[in-house]
Amino acid sequence: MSASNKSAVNRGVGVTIALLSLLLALPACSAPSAQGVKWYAGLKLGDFQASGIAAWRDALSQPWRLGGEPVSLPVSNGSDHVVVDRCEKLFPAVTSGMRASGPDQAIFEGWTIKCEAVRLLVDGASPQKDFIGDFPMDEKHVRGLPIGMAFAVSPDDERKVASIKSAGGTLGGFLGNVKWQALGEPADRRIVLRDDGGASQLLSVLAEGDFDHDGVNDLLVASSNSMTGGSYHAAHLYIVSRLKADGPLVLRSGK
Amino acid sequence: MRTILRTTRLRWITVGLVSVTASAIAAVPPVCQVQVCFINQQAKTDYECENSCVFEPYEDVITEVAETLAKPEFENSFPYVYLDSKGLPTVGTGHLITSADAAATLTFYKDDGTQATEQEIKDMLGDVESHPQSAECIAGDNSQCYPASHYSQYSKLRMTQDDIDALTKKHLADFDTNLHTIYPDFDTYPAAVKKVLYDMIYNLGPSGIENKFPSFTAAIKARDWQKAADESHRTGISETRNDYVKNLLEKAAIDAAAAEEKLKQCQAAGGGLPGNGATP
Repeated sequence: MSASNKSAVNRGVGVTIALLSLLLALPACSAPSAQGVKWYAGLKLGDFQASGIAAWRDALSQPWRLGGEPVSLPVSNGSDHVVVDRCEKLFPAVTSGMRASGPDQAIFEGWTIKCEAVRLLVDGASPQKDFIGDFPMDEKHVRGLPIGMAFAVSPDDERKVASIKSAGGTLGGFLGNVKWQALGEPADRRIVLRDDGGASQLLSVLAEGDFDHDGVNDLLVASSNSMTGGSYHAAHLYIVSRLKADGPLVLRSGK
Repeated sequence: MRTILRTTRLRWITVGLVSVTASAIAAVPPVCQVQVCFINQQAKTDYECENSCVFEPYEDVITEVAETLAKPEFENSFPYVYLDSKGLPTVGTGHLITSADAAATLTFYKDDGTQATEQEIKDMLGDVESHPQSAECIAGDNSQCYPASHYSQYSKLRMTQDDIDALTKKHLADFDTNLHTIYPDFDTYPAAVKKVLYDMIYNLGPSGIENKFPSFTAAIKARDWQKAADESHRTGISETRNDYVKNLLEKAAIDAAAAEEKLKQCQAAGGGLPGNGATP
């Protein structure tokens, strides 16, 4: 166990009552752990949403279920074929470049994001510093997210992202005429952005804590991108952080 | 515009020429818009030279695109009904079933090989829809979606591959209006370019191809196939599919350069001018 993790556990034990009070005060859909990481409604492995880090760790090896029914996905990289039905089988499949076929690839990517998020969560630490604070997924906050989280599908989009990035801009500079629609309760921290060009982007804060082990609080944010009237779909997982007070939000991992 | 072509020494036929207009006669020549047999290669070349267009071997574009889309690494093809990530009943290669009545017009077969009745099809659709996708799935969280294969157990009836192919062709044909609106000269594009545009509109939707790929769309309209190849990359899809599109456009660029050179040579030699042997 790293020094920071030991510190996190010790402090976690020392403030159990405070944490319990905090838990009661938090929205019902978020759950802090003894490690100081917490997760939101968007972080589910099928039907499963754990009450503690140990349960999340166990979930990585458990078969997936959705609506009470087992779920599995056949995947292949052309030479090898496997059936993936739990995170611990998914990880080597992703590493081997395996994909599902047709519309199931979007589902495979969805599970990949969730499994990776749970793996980061169970390895996460309690942050020593937090420069993000409360982060509701409303228009103001979403516009301030890093430009690297833009739903860029074309070379035109990629050039626009590069231009905004070089000018120090944020996601807000990329978004055109967008309709904003919260998914679930505001405390779930999920929002759908739909633009005039047919792009739809679901942004979900899955968890927060210190996931890159630099002592600073991070957000785990999933992005699920699709095109209206088309079969296109892509998914990404980002670690977003703010490294100093009044600093910009930055990507610590992800595109 | 109508013209008379001499196709054999003994008979003449009349064909309708479809809009080989001045605007379409760019540096990169359009595909000639007639289907006709020429008496010999020289007559064909003369026609191309006179009309600043080129013929290409016939290809059944829609059939080829349908076969490509049915590949697992593209859209795949399912003989049974499943609910897609929008919660909509779907069969074959992404063919949406808009209602029970629409489903009943399709041809499904039972395990014993006999054709299902309309009522049996409607019952099967009800079984599938009794296992709906969740609201989270429909909102875009794909880990909350049942895979297509999950519905195999509820969708007891099957379509044949031939019937699926016919559905896919109809689906692609439905994009024709969109493609002609975005690309008015669509009919004059080479088969390779048409295949690209069907693939991209299927994947991105009509709005996506026009609004998210303005440089690609401009390059297509300018018949700059190499530039279109460079602007065709879709972030997030398989590189197999990106390479498929890029290779088609690069092939079109090579073919266009060869055609352009051919026309230059024949026109420099006076081909296509009255009195130089061109038809009629």
